[in-house]
Amino acid sequence: MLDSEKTIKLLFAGPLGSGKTTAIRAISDTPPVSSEVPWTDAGSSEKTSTTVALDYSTIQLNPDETLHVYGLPGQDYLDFMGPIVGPGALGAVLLLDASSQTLAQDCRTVVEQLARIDPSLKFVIGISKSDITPSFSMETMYALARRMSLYVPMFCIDPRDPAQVRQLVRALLYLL
Amino acid sequence: MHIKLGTAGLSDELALRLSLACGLLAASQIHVDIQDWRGNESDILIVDIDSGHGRLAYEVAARRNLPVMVFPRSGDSETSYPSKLDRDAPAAAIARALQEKLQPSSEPTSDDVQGLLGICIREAGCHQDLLVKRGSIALILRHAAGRIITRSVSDVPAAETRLLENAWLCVVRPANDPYANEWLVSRSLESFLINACARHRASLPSLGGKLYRLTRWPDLGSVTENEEALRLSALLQRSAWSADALAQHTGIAAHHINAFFWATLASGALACADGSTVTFAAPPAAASTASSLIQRVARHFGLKLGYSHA
Repeated sequence: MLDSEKTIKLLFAGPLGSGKTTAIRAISDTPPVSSEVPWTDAGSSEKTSTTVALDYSTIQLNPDETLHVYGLPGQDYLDFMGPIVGPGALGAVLLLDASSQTLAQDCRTVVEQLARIDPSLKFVIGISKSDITPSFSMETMYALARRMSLYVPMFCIDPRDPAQVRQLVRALLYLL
Repeated sequence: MHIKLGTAGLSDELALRLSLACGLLAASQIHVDIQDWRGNESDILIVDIDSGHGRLAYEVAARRNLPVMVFPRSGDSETSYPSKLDRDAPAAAIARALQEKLQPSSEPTSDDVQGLLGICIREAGCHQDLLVKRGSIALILRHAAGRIITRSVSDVPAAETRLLENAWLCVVRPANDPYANEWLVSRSLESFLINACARHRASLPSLGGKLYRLTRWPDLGSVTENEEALRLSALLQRSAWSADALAQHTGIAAHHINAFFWATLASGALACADGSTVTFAAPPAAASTASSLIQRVARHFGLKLGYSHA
């Protein structure tokens, strides 16, 4: 088990299907170690598998230092894992799925999940699939953020694009 | 702001509406003291040309170069006066005209820039879908939603290229849009504007010394090749800055900052911060080991040293 006091950690959080595994894969040096299983509720979505525990990957900062990247599970019943792997993290990237019918509730749930890990944990919000969701409106998200008193960067991104995921992490670094 | 406002020759009804209008100005921190004008000291004079007293006061004010606003004769649309008030206007409209006279707007308007950028400024916050076209380029502007939608990916850079050109037409998207199924490419309006304004930075008028601050973080998800946008956002999120002061503080070229200001003004994220002072909020003091750690992580993600704390 890694010592949370000495490990440099970055968290990815978000509901099922928001692109956590994809985003981690996009910026990591090594493919994420994931416990993926076929997604039986996928419907017509292109996504055929989902992570049932957590994703883990690494980014080599220099020969002596490694950034450990964790994707927290999106399922409520695995909520207990956040406080185990989360403490000591630099910050978190919260990913949301713009096409979700429960986008606002998803956001609230994950923000609360992060607060349980550490109420002072800094995070940024990435919104995936905004390009394929014609009805998506940033105004809804800004209104939600105001109601929740969230003054954090909120970017529409494609989690498959390493540059866009890196952009989220850069924004997080400006908050630290 | 305290204003002494003199009136001359106003009917009771006009005087009442003017009084209501002055009351409304209190919401803008303009406190008006209304008095009958008999040559005494005033900041501005309001006269009704329909009355002899009003005409006389107008002539005296003109000789003294006193700012004056005129209720012209009923039906007289030909005589030109430096500043006119509509005698049939409601109190709110009179208040707006007075405010513009007393406190000329310092906000940039769509008149300051042309083309698609001007449309975005004019339609800021619009909740309707607007169809914006220039030649073969067409896009749907959903300003409040922060999105633009095009029929093809190539329309996005084409629109960027012609951002400031005239001849963009803007109409409300028809309810029965015959091309409804062809609008397939949805992009962030903010990212589009930041990229487009950066391309046209040399052509944008300077916003100079006015103070601005971000009311929220702009959507920079697709602005991956413009590192300065992140840094400027972090600073403008914390406090109000002028473009000139930011250029001095960051070393970023002034026209890059000016372009970022125009883009975020057009998207609705940047607001004029008149009266605020430039204050640099230093980041909380962190342990040196922690900050050097952050710098090492920042370096890996392509941020220059020191950028993480702007």
